[in-house]
Amino acid sequence: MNLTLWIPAIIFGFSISGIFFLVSLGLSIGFGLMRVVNLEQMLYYTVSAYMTYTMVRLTGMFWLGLLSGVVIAGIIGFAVETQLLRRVYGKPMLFTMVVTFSFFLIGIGAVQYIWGLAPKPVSSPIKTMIGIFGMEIPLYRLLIIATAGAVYVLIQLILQKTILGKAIRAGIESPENLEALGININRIFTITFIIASGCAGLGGALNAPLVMVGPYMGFDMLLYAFITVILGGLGSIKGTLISALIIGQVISVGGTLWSPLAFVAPFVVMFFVILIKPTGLYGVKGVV
Amino acid sequence: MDARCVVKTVGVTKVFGDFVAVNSVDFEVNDREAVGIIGPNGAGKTTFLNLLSGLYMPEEGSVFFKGRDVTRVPPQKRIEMGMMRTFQLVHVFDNISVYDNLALSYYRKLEGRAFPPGSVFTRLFRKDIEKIVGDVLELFELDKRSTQIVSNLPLGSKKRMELAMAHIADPEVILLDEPFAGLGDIEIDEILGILTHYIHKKTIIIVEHKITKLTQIVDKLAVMCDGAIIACGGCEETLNDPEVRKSYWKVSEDEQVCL
Amino acid sequence: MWKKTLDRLGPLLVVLLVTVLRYLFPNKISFFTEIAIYTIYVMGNNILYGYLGLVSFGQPFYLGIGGYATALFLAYVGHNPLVALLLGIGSGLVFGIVLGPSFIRLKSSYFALINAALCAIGVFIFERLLIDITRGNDGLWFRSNMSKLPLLDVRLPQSFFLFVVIVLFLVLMIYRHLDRSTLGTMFRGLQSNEEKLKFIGYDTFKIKWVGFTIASCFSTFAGSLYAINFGFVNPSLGENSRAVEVIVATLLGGSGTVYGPFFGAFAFLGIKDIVSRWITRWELVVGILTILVLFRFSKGIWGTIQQYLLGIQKRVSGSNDIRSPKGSRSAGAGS
Repeated sequence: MNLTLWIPAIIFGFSISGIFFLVSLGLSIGFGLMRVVNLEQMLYYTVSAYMTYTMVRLTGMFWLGLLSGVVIAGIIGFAVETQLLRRVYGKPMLFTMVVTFSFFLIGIGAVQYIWGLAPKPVSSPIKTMIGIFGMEIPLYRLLIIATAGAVYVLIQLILQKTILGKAIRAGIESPENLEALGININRIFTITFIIASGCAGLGGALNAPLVMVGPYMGFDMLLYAFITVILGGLGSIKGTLISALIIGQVISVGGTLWSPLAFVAPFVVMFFVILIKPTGLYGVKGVV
Repeated sequence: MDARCVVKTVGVTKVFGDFVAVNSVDFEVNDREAVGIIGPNGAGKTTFLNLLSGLYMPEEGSVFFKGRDVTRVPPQKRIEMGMMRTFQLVHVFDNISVYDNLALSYYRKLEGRAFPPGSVFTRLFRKDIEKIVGDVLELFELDKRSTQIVSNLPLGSKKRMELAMAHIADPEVILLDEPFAGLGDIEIDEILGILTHYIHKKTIIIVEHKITKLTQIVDKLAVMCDGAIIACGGCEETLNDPEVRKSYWKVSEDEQVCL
Repeated sequence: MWKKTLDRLGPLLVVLLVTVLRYLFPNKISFFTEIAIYTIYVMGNNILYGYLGLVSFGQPFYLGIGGYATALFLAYVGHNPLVALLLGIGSGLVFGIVLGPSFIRLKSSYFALINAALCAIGVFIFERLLIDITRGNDGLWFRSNMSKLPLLDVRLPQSFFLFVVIVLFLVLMIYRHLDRSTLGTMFRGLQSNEEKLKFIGYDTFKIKWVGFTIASCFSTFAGSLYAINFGFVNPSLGENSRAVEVIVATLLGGSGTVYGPFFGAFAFLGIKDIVSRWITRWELVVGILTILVLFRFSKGIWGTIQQYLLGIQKRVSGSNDIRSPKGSRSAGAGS
């Protein structure tokens, strides 16, 4: 065992998992709660990354960029939920998927108009390396892992401890529950959606220094988000986390073993899980 | 097992989460008998029918059809064996014509297989199919609507059509889930009129709320309450059964039940 | 009347329209060739979307498979374009049969997503994994390897256009037959109410499997034709980002109809041709177009034409009905 190779690989894997978890959350929870596969989540991811880039260019402050990215993602999410998605709730799944995917395309087009086609680099805000078992690991990667972990804990706290969380859980179990409880569904949906798009935005901002910020970054990420939610099961937050952890390691460790595995292995893993369990690891049952 | 017995369940139980929808039900229907299942909302009537037709698999117990254990047999196979059902909320093909709906049902009967590979090369507009479908459409007073798209039909016609789809497949056993739900008196009488054709020709199991209408055609009545069959027998005796009076009608011994 | 005549002559009319237009606009030959090919591609998607009620964000994958099956054969193995085309169809058959069982038992949301993922992996395979034989992004060129066919030399644009038009005619005939066959009715039934189809005794799994396989054959066949048309293939044929284009073309023409794909392909490629002169950012237009069609024009072009023709027919037959008001009233009373 060559530790100098494997430990960084595993930590890189976890950081990838963190990003995947953040960006896939909206796809998964949107399905669980609103029965909508909202493919335009990756738009928030893209826009947030661009906001980060712009703020870094203007002010040089990465964290301000990250904050503005999350905020703008939340705002767009709010607008999309109230103006567009509300018109498609309850429509057939294929209809809503095409609508959200088209909106994603429109967003990409808009991004191209605003920022152009050329990919933009964002420099890493923390260049410190810290030593773990004698290996040099970028602190920024650890920070991503910590952030994603914190988001998961926070979401679990909201779900378990607050009234909003209870309503969301009841809604995921069965949408009729909410109506029976006399809760304003629209408000629950909107708040949930803002949180989810904020998370996607956070993922985009955090990922900006690790990849080139380009108009099609959302497309690339959409693929991984697909794999993550299919493997974990649409509608389950826990499933999303676990599958993000698996996929992250598969990419990083697999890629270390043999580089094409980084791309092919997640797909293979997903494919096998789907063969055995068509609703993914923790998928919501009984819905389309 | 009694040779005349067509449908039989032994201790079937269906659980949804913590809720026991059907609780260890033993039930028997003889050949060419018409049986009604009544009971309050949430008594498990529809769930029981779903267990019979194979939409659900029971957690415990077995379902027998014509003496064969069909507990794990999927719906398509049960239909091939001669069992047909209708749904409480009409289940028909909304986007095709009335004719196509019936012809699809008949085609399966004709070919007798779950997926006829020849279906790519055949058409539903064929002399023999047209003849049979035409006859059935007339019987169900749907002949004027033959070419209409189903989604434009009123509920009464849709219900009749769903029944016609079951009829045309010529099953031995027909399961009807609330055939009168949502219909007016005239429409109910139309369906009753059709159902009387079947009496003592086919085995019928009807789940219904409207007891008055039901007692006109069934030989036997079963009462379900909280997932269990609490009484089963002739109409009169079942309705006057003390247990039924207590838990279903919520009346005491000496009060009269008004039908 | 109208409808019957149109129905009988439909494939011929479509083919005539394309041919006449091609000679009216002689410098647009490649555009009309592409319309014919794209129609076949849209037909494949229409079987999924319009008949089976499944949306796939991975249709370009099947296009790519067909294209590469043809290209690899012509580049390395043989010279006969017809054999290469048959191989293209065959590749769709194989992929449909192999992938079908695991894909179609997925729920519609998973089905859409897994196809998109498949599409991405396809591009990766063409572009990098098999770079030694596909030449990656440089593209695989094979035009010089193609032999001349006895009657038509498909290497020349003019005769390839005629070839494609003949192929389109045959495919339309097959498609129309499929639409009217018992299987076509089963597809519609499946889309409308899968559970009911099960409960009148059909094995919906097998019906879907067959539908999926037929759909992938259409798509791979279109991919093969594309390959021969260009004389080369590169991974962009199977590109993920274009997955929604075929869906918008399907919707635009009228999903679930026989001639919808043709009108969809025509309208979509026409819009693309015009718009791309002014705008290079194509995604924006496709997105807006899709949303507009979905919300405002859900019947599509052919659906709207059909409705219009039906209206005329009703008005004509309505005046006939005056003679027998009793009949129509009793039909109404039956409800």
